[in-house]
Amino acid sequence: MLQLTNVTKRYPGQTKPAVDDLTLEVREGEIFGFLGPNGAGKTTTIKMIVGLIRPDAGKIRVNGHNLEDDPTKLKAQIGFCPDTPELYERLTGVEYLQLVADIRRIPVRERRERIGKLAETFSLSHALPDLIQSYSHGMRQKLSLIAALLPQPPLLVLDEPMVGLDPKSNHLFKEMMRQHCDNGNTVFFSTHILEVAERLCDRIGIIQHGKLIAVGTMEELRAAGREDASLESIFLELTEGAGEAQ
Amino acid sequence: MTHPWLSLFKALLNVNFGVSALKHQIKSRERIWEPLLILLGLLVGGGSIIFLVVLMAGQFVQVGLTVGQPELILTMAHLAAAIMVFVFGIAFVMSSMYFANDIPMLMSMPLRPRQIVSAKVATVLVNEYLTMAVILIPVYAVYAVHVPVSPWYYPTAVLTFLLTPIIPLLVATLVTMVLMRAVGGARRRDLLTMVGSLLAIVVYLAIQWALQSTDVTEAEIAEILFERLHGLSQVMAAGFPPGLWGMQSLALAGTGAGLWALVKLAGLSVVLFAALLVLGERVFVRAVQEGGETGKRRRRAALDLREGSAVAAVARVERRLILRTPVYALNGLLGFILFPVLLFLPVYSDMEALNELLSLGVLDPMVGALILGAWFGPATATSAVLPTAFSREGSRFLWILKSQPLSGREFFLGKLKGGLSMMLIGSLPGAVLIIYLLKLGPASIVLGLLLGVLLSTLISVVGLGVDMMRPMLNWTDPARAMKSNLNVLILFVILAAIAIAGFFGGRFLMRLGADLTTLVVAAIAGISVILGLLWLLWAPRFDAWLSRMGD
Ligand SMILES: Nc1ncnc2c1ncn2[C@@H]1O[C@H](COP(=O)(O)OP(=O)(O)O)[C@@H](O)[C@H]1O
Ligand SMILES: [Mg+2]
Repeated sequence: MLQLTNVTKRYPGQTKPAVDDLTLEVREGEIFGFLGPNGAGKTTTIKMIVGLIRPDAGKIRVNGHNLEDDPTKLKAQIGFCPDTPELYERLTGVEYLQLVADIRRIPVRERRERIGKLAETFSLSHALPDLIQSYSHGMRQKLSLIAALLPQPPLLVLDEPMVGLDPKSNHLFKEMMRQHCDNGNTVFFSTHILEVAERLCDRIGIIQHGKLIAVGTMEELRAAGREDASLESIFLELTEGAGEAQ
Repeated sequence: MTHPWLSLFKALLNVNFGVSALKHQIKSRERIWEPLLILLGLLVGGGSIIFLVVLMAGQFVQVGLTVGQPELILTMAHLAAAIMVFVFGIAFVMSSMYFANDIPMLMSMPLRPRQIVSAKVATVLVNEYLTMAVILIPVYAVYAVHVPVSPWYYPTAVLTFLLTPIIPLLVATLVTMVLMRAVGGARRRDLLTMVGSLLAIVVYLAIQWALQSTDVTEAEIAEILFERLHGLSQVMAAGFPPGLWGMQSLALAGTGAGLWALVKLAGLSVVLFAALLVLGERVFVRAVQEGGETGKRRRRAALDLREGSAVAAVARVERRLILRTPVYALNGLLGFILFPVLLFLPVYSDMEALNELLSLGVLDPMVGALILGAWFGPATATSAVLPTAFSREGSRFLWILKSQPLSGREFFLGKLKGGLSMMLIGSLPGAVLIIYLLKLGPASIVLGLLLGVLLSTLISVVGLGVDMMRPMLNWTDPARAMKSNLNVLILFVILAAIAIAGFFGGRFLMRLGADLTTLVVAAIAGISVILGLLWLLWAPRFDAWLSRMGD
């Protein structure tokens, strides 16, 4: 579904690359958790996947579409929600969803049905006719999620999606992700909240200093260390080990 | 320790002129040519204005000398400066005091509201000095060259220059503050932008009317011309005495009367400043606080969902954001109203002369078509909407459209459709005015509009292309994306080149014996060809420009 091959990205003025020779495959129908401490390179990787910044080297493919050759077709496969949902303050929620639906060419009947359902689920219906500038952080997050889910994309890419959501939305959101995968789609999300990753993800990748230091199912990750290890202890062990190696 | 007011003033000036950003740019040797280009643009622009002012002032002094009243030019310059300061003042004050996003931050600091208000006004004042300098200083110099002046003239000139903008600016500030309070603070910002601009125009109209509707008999004219001291100036400045005082302080420099005029200028400035401090303390806080409670736009109607193309969707969002963001509307669309008014007024007061000219048949219908078409040029070029279309997305909002499956071409066309439609609709009132004033016939109207639409499209495409190539995305204050965007200046330079090429091309055709109709048709054809070539050249590059944008 999603393949990254030897992807490298160095920001101008930085000595170390933010993402360093990263190779990763996310399979169809799975929920993939992308874990790492702050500054590990998660956001940078995600920005490259959705075409916001260009990798210095390496290849990114989604569903057979290459980012370099066909960015538009690749982006059409993806629904994306960034870590801080900066939205046009002076549009209403509906107008924003309308924009996304028009670009994604969703027929009117379908978009009405989907928006109605998603807004109901996230209890945002009442706020949709308001200007986004009156939304709280959580409401913006929800609107941004709804916009990402609206086109029912084969690949959902989310950067730290749980930050700022209330417990109820958090729960709802996890269900949505599961459901999205059950419909045959794929989810790729970054987080530093380990217990979410542990319970929700089919597979997990751990990134530090721009390098992928471990990848696999919970069982596979455990197999490398102690039998009963929690993700937290695996995570700490791995990232600390790598940290010392630096 | 520096006084808090001074620190505040310094910080505001720093932001206003982008000093820190400039220092950083110079230190890091990043794109050094940008500030240089800006400097060059300012020198060329300021230089040509000074040249024009010197030219006109010389003429006026000569005319004035024939009736023994050369100081008329001083009165006119001070009046013009006052009107300019007032009209721009309302816009400046609104955007820096009510729509600026640093206000909540400043209010939370241990500063008195009157300190914030006065520091803001002082910053605006510095801007006004810079704009006024290109008008007043050349006039002062021209006067001193043609008329014998006392040695006191020079120190007085400095004081008069410094005092001149204060009164109109304070009046503009007080009017704005009262207005903001009356309409319920910044809560209804969108409405207020409109009201404020309209008010500025109405006041401008009133001033013009007052200046021109002085009915005088012939006997009085003789008296004004030959007997009364400064008779013409007194008639001109009847509606605005400070304009007269400014002149008197200079023309009578070194005498008691001259000093008295200067004292009156300073005195009124102090009184108004006191009023500002008092009102600032009482009115400003409340207006801003109410503005903090952002308005909600409730439309309880069922989800109004329509289907459209991606290009139309981008265009619709572009229009909505411009119209709903006051700084954008102010910088992008105000010219469409202001220009026709400024253009119309002088002509209106002399309608009869114009009608006489027209009835003589001096105006070739094709000249009318050219004027009509040409109007769309400055109308589009002075609006910053298109050359900032991508910059306005900024690093904050660029992800919204860039992460969507939108090709470079769709993105460009969407922005073009949204911006150009506003340019064309905005240019219409001015076009109608020209058609009405010049009594254009159907052929002139059709050709003129065709020329105008093509010209507007060309300017829009060039501006948008420049901004897509090199958008300025690193802003924190959305106003900067529009106000201090180099792409606007680059567009000006390109347009100047096109205009010069057009002028010489036209002259060349005339020399070959082409008539005016051929000229208009040639202009239409020429612009179409340039547009076609530009599209062929740029369209294949849109995707590359988009993919590197913000990277
Ligand atoms: N725009 C940028 N310019 C320069 N360096 C950046 C930029 N964005 C991120 N970085 C650096 O790249 C590294 C990775 O950052 P990021 O991908 O945001 O990490 P994460 O999302 O895992 O917390 C960090 O060291 C960060 O400082
Ligand atoms: Mg991050």
